[in-house]
Amino acid sequence: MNETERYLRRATHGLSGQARRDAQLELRGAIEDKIWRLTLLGLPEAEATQAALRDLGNPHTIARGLTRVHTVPRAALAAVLAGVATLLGVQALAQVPVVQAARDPSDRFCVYDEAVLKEMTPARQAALLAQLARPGGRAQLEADCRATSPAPRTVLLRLSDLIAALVRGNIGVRTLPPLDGFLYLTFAGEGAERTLDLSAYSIPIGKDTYVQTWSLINHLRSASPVPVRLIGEVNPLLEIGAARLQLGTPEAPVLAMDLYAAALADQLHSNPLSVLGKPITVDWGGMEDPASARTRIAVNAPDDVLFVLVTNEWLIGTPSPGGPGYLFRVLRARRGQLATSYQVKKQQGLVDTVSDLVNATEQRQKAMLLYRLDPRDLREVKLIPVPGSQLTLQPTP
Amino acid sequence: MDAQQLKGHLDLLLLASLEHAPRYGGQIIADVQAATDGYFNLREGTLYPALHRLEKAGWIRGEFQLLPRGGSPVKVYTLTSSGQEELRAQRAAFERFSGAVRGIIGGGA
Repeated sequence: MNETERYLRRATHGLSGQARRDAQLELRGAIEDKIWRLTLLGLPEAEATQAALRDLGNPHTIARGLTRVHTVPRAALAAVLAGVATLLGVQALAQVPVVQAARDPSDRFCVYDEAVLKEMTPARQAALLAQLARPGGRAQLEADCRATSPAPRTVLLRLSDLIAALVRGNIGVRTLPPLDGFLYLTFAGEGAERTLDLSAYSIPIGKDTYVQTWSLINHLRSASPVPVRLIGEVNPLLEIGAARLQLGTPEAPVLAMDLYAAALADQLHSNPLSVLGKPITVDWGGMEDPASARTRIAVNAPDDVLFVLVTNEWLIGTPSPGGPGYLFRVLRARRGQLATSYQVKKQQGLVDTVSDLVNATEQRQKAMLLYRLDPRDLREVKLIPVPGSQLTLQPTP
Repeated sequence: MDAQQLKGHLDLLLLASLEHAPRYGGQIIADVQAATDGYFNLREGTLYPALHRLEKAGWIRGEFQLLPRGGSPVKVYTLTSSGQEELRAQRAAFERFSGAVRGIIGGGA
């Protein structure tokens, strides 16, 4: 065996099959290319070969790097382990690091802040200012906000737990003191660091710093190079590639539906639904209270399949000025039904398209549009339209 | 430039080196070295694993091609459309990063 062949074998040690053959062929091409250049400079072939191999560096360094890329991805391995963990039951799952949650003691979410004016369209700005000018206007505005933003939205996560859980999941974390919640993440196989800036919504409680769940989800959507998904409904597992974090505890539960809503609100803001290229505003309508269901829709879906319902309730009733546009809610199928508090009496109220929804609104008719939510990756929540003509309204008791 | 400093920007460097034309490993090393006046000394031990990783990510596509000089083919890499998107994103992130660093350390713009 000549020197080049020996080098190639060492540099591809740890690879097998086609990956090894391809890597050897590529490196052979690279070596021959170097030799060719060196002989053009007048070096005899034997010396040129030695110089080329020396230039290529330690073959074991190349082998280590290549093996890291070509062996079973960590995510696949983790998926297998996750399957095993499920079989082993609760005890094994308890190994998943838990991120403690808490409610926001200050609940600053529905406190009017002048800064939001700047983010509004002129029309909504004017409407909001008009409402604020009325007696009790601000109190009414904040009450409206609380009505559509129930408590679960303000659930907080303990930052130290979050960092520990990310590290356990093989995601490198670097902090930027004294900024609490500003994290640099390094994902396996990724050279560059990604920023996860939760500092704007970090809140001290006692000695600990907490960050907002929805802020975590929304920043992960842009920071993560790997799929982000939730498993389970109450205190869901958050999967970031191979990393698994248990969000919340029985004492301070985190609801997956809130997090889907947060991701979707973020997504609809940057990538809105539109009619003929004209975007429509869709805001989160808050949690659905099953007790106050006034409309039931039969769906052909097993329990726990998620849907997104977009309604024109704010635009048809007596909307408060500066209030939201269309509203969306995340609904979960139960016994083949979806329940919502918005009352649509006629089958025509279940429309087929965004354009139908806008038309109905212009004619001041109550209407709703349903999508099935594909929860596979929170970075891009896919909405699959379910035409209203395929749905049936169920009688409500 | 030490290996640690290079590591953070390697992907961006490689994607950018394929932006205008397909290249094989030896050409990428030579290009990077020439463009940075020898500041970046990219070694094969770093280059090939990184290229394979980018290929797995779908950002570049490698194809064996014969050269006029004959002998074994070389693997020529081309930037894919998702690679172009990634390059744009990484370039923007780098510009934000270097702008922020300049803001802190001061000096000429």
